[in-house]
Amino acid sequence: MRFEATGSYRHGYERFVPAPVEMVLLAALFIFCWKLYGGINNSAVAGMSSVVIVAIAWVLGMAIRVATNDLRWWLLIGFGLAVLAPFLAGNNYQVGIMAQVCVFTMMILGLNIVVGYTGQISIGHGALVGISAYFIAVLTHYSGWPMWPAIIVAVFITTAFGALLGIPALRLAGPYLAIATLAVALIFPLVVKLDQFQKYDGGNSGIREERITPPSGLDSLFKNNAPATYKNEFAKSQFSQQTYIYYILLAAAIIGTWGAWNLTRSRFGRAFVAVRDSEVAATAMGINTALYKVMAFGISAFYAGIAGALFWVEISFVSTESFDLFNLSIYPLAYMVIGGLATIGGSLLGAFGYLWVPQTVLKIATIDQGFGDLQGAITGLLLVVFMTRLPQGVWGWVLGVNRYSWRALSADTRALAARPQPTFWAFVAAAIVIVILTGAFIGSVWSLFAAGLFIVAPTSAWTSVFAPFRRATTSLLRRARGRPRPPESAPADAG
Amino acid sequence: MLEVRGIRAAYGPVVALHDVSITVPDGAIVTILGANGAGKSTTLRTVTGLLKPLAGSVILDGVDIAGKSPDWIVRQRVAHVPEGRQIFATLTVSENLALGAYSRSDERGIAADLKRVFDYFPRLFERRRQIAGTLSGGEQQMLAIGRALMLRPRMLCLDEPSLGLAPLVVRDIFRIIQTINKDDGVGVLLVEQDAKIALSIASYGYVLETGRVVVSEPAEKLVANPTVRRSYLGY
Ligand SMILES: Nc1ncnc2c1ncn2[C@@H]1O[C@H](COP(=O)(O)OP(=O)(O)OP(=O)(O)O)[C@@H](O)[C@H]1O
Ligand SMILES: [Mg+2]
Repeated sequence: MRFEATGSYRHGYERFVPAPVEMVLLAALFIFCWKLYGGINNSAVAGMSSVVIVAIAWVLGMAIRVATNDLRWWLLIGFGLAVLAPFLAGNNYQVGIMAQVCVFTMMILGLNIVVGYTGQISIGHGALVGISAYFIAVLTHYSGWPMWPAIIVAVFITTAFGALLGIPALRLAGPYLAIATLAVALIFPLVVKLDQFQKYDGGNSGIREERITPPSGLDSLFKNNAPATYKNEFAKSQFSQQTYIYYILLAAAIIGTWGAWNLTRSRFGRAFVAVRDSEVAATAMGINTALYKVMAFGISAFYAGIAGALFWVEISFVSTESFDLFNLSIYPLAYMVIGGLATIGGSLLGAFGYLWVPQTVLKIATIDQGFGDLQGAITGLLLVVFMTRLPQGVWGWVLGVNRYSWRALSADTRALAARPQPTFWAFVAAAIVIVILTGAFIGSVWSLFAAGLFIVAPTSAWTSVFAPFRRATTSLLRRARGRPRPPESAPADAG
Repeated sequence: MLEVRGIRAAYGPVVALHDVSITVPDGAIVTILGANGAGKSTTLRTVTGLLKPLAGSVILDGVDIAGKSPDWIVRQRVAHVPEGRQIFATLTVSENLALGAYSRSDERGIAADLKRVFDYFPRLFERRRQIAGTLSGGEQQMLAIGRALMLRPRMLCLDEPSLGLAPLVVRDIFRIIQTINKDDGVGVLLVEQDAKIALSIASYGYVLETGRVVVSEPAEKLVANPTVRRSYLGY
């Protein structure tokens, strides 16, 4: 009889069981979404709900394990979801949030290059996004430039300015550099508000322009701004001006992600990490650390510049309020860390988390208080949890899950289907019945707890509990069917 | 051949080297001994360009390299294994080695040198996909030396390779340093606290004291030198 508390020698269908931590996290995530759609307060269906919740969490867990085994799955899933987002969204407002995810994807990718990969802290990045957006606004609104040349000039100026911002990094490190870059973020709105510039940049009231419209060939497809009453009118709301803009931003974000991916995997990318890990050794390898730091800031500012351009395309409105310190400098930094420092996947998750997590939490909690304060509280709480429990961020956790290749999964499934496994099915059936009964007679929370217990309990422990039962049933079955005894499968592979 | 001639170097107002002259003949192992703070690391730093000397010159095969930028000096194939190993902790062993060849572009030569490094340090080959920060101290030192070899150096400057290692590992590493030196005649400038083992492989030695060379003799004489015996060998 095998009994492995660690479960590290799982084989066959035993590998269907995810690690307890994964399971709990996924179930929690799912309960969140569940509550969002009405909750599980109805005790009559509570037990059933628990089964469904855990089943969906299990499917999600398996999906994550399989996707992580070959990261191209993640690419495919992410790409698919991004492309289909307007169809998954309920209304234009949500499409707009997805467009902002694209803006912050660009920004956080750039931020990660300088902070994550090169190890140079920058708190002033919001100012770079602001500079870019403001230049575009002023050039188009006051100088009457067409948008595209304005974007090119603005991004160029932002890149140059960002490289200049890198010069303090040559002399300062850590908290001192943080303060120096913070100063830029603090000064930027003041400069915009200066009396001398009010004439051009609109001072406090900012600059507003018409949002871009689809070209004539496409405008029948992307009908103009859908009114709010379109909510949930599926066919009409998907093809709006907002959706058109979203796809432009998505294209930019995809190109930006691809560029950052290649950059970080190149000789340059490795040199950035070398500068971060050991400046002395990087110098000893012949890496010009000063040049690389300035380059990191420059590239990062280029991304911030593009983010500013996307911001303008999306909102077509700038004011100093849009680029306040927290919304554009501190929060993106925080969510970048939560997503995963020095990873591309983490940058994307960070951008997504920034725009969706605080909102969703508030919606679930049905709190109507000032969004700003609570957003800070939620972000702070998340930061503390991640810094202490998961310093590698969400993406780090994903990379660490118990991987499961698609091939092994289908082989195990086929094996399960081909050979009678009465114990397994008896176990599953018993679990479902017990969970439903718990829900019906004790309470919804307990049924969820029971469901969790069944799924996270080490399989081998269950197997050994059921071992005598299994032996009896299999021999019974064998006798009934007159089949020869199947060879004992060896626990050869460490799943 | 490397000749350090009368260098003077300072960190701001603190003068660390007053007048240091050292010669490393082609293919020789030369060691610099001295107490903590004597200026041994500083000497290496001026050779490899991390610190610009205030006066004096550093002649590498007839060319004065003093005050040149570190990346230029690296391109002259002067490799530096800095004090405390300084491996790139979050990168894999392979990536660390690839960075050792950062200033080279001859793909084929790099591949050949990678193979050579793995021949010297089979342990690194076994662990080539491991994150370098999780290597043991001895393996990290091997990696630091291997990374320097990826430059195919003509001068190898080693700063305290024995730091924090068990005596057996130290002996292994010094044997490999000796082999590397013999195999392709690379000059080695070795800074070491462990005078005994340093003098066992070096042909010539210098003793630094507060930024000045106080003794310079062939290794076998240095071993017998009474002050060296008392201060650095402990018998
Ligand atoms: N970055 C620095 N700033 C100021 N002073 C320094 C710096 N680095 C070294 N020094 C000083 O220069 C002197 C020589 O230092 P160095 O590092 O060369 O000593 P060392 O001989 O290598 O000693 P150890 O065996 O402890 O490594 C010391 O007095 C030290 O305090
Ligand atoms: Mg030293």
